[in-house]
Parts: sequence; structure tokens; C-alpha cells
Amino acid sequence: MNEEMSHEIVLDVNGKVKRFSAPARRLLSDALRGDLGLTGTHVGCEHGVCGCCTVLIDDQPVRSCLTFAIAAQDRKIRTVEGLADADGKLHPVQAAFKECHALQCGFCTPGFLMTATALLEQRPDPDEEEITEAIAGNLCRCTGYQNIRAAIGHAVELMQSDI
Amino acid sequence: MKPASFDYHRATSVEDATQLLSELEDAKILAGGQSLIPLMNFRLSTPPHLIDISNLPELSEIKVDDRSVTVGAAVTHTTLLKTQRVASELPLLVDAEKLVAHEVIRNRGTVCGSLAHADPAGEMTAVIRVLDGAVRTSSVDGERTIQAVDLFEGPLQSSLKENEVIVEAIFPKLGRNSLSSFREVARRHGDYAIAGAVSVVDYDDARSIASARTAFLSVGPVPILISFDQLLAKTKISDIGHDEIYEIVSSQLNPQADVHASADYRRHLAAELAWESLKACV
Repeated sequence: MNEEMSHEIVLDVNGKVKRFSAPARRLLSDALRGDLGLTGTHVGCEHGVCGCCTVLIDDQPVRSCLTFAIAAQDRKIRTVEGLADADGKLHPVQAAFKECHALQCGFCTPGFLMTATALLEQRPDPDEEEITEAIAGNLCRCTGYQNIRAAIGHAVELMQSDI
Repeated sequence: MKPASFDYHRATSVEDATQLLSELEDAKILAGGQSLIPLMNFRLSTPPHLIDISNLPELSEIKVDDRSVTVGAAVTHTTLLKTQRVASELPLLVDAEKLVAHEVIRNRGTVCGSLAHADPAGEMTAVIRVLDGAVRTSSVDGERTIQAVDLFEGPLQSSLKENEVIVEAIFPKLGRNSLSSFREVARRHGDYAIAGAVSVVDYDDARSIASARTAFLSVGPVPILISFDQLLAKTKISDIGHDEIYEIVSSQLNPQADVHASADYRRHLAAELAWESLKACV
């Protein structure tokens, strides 16, 4: 078998420029986890159904398992590692998930956090239906969705009181 | 699950993309990748070359004129859904887009990509069929237009030639005397529909039906169109009967059974959804 061609890939992740070399078939999810050591992004179904691997590209939530790293160059990527402040202070969405018990095993949580963050950046005061619609593409198999919905509602309050 | 190895080519223009398509063996076009990459992750598809057209500005436009809404091949579902002029000039596109997968998929997936993918469960395949739309393609041999009726040949099979790329989809606008409605049933909003029906009703000046048709998704190998023109000519929409519509639809559809639904249930759903979507065109 021929040696697989490697590409120099440059990604902008959480405001930092990251360089690594990888073949074209490297999925963004695997690049984040394996090449860059950012294991906060979880990999579940690997075909776009479960939502665990959701990251933000140019502020829009996308499936990192359905994106090739090489095609995500020149875009701004945000992962769950970029949510908390440098001093460790949790992002309001993270704080709300903690306070409302919106996670149990935590496997799906990074995907929910990124999806919820994008929702609240686009619609700072979403109604119940908008919250439900936003997280409809994310699967949780242990906590259940009621606490997750409540947490996103609580995150709205935290963000408003923050200002 | 990892895709098989391939060579990546970022096209610098449509011409560059068609040149690469003709030179490289078994190359595939990559736009949003939301249908192609799952197939590659499962290794159901193992193209040796991908040609990325998602960054081409000339394919990123939505044009609205007197007759149609034209959507470039790099336009995502989200962009179409959020374009104000589309909502006012051809609201059926927005109604359909709200049913296309989940927002996170719509953020990457493209309108033309879902047409090229030719999945009969795809909302956009049914919409372009009921509107009698078309796609414009490009290749080293030149450009051509493929009508929706000729585009879909079977499940995941389109009439695109190997060296052709869709550059835009053309959705004809509805007249002022036309109404449309999209209905589907899925286990969760955003999942693949078990069945769906999208109807267009054109009225004459006397508010009688001049033409009525419904396209169906998820009930056949391609989006299926049923015309009710003969049955409903000159009828008021308030006078059409459930049983006649149900009988016509259920006698013409032969859906397949799968893990989600039996053939009979799919047929029943499609007939009821046709009725509901027609009645919504009041």
C-alpha cells in the first residue's frame, strides 16, 4: 500500500492557531481529540446522529464528525475547552448545567453545551419551543431532557444578571 | 469508523472543479458533506478524490427574480431558511427547510447537495418536484439543465453524469393564485420522515381549482408526483372529499416496509398527509 499523503493543516481553535500534519480523511473530531489533545469534544455515533461532537464553526454549531479538518481551515472553531474563562470561571451555560443537574454521565454534555451556547448567542431570550428545537439534534441517554431544558433557561437568567 | 483514504482538492472555480472532475478517476464533489461524509464514515462510499466546492463565492448566491428562486451549490439549508426574500417570495422553501434534519446539520448541508444525493426521503427533492423545478449543471462538455422529473432515477441515484456538478437549483415561484403546504410525520422533528406530502393548488379567478398536485417523500424510490387535476377541475377546495383523495393516493403508491414503518402504514400516512396538505391550501 502506498504511503498516505499528509497535509499541513492550520486550524484556529478557541482563538489559538494550531498546526499539525494529517491526511485529508482526518475528521475534525479526531483532529481535535487526537492531534490537538482537546478531548473535551466527544465522539459518539460518528455519523451525525448523536450530537456529542458538536463544535462551533464561525459561531454556528456543526458536527465535527461530519467535517474534515482540512476543510475547516480559515474558519474559527470553538470547542468546550474555550467556554470557561482562563481563570477557570465557568461559562454561564456550564454553571447552569451544574446547578440544574443537567448532566449525569456527562458523555453528551460537551455537545449540549456548544449547542446551547450557540442558541443563546443567536437568541439571548429563547422561548421553550426554541430551546427544545435547538437541542432536538442532541441525544442524552441518562439525564433526560427536562433538566437540560431547565438549565438552558437558567443560563439565560445567569447571562442577564451577569451584565 | 473512519473514512477510507482520499486525495483532497479545493476547487478554485467552477471551471477548475469540472476540470478536476473530468481528469480524476471516480472523484466526488464535496459541498456540505452532511450526506456524503456519513456514507464515507461507514465506508459505503470510498471515493479516491474529493473536490471541495464549498468555498466558491460564485456558488454561494441566492438569486430571486420574477420567475424563480435560484440557489447556488454552496448555499446551506440555514442560509436559504434565513433569507428574508425567500420567505416572502417562495415561502414553501422555508416551510420545507424547517423540516430538513436538525439545525446543526442544516448549518453545513447544502440545498444542491441534498438534490445530488437524490434521497427520496429528502424534503428538497419533493419540493423541487412539486414545483417542477430544475438544476443547472456544468462539466467540461458544457452546461445543461435537468428538470426535476428527470433528475431522480432511484434511491441515491441521480441522472447526473460522472463529470457533472450541479451549480444551482432553480425553484419556480408560485403565482399569486397558488397556495402550498408541506406535511410530514417523523418520530422526532428533524428525523427522516416516515412519510411526507407537499401540495400546490392553483386557483382560477373564480376561486375554483385550476390545478392541484402533491409530491411525496419516503414512499418510493424517487419523489413521486400525483396530479389531481382531472378529479378536482373547477371544484372549490372546500368541496373536495377525504375519501376520494385517500383512494387515489393509496392506490398509486407502493412504499417499502422497513424497521420504522410497515408498507401499509406508510401508504396510509401518505394518503392522510396528502389530504391534510391539500386542505391546508385554502
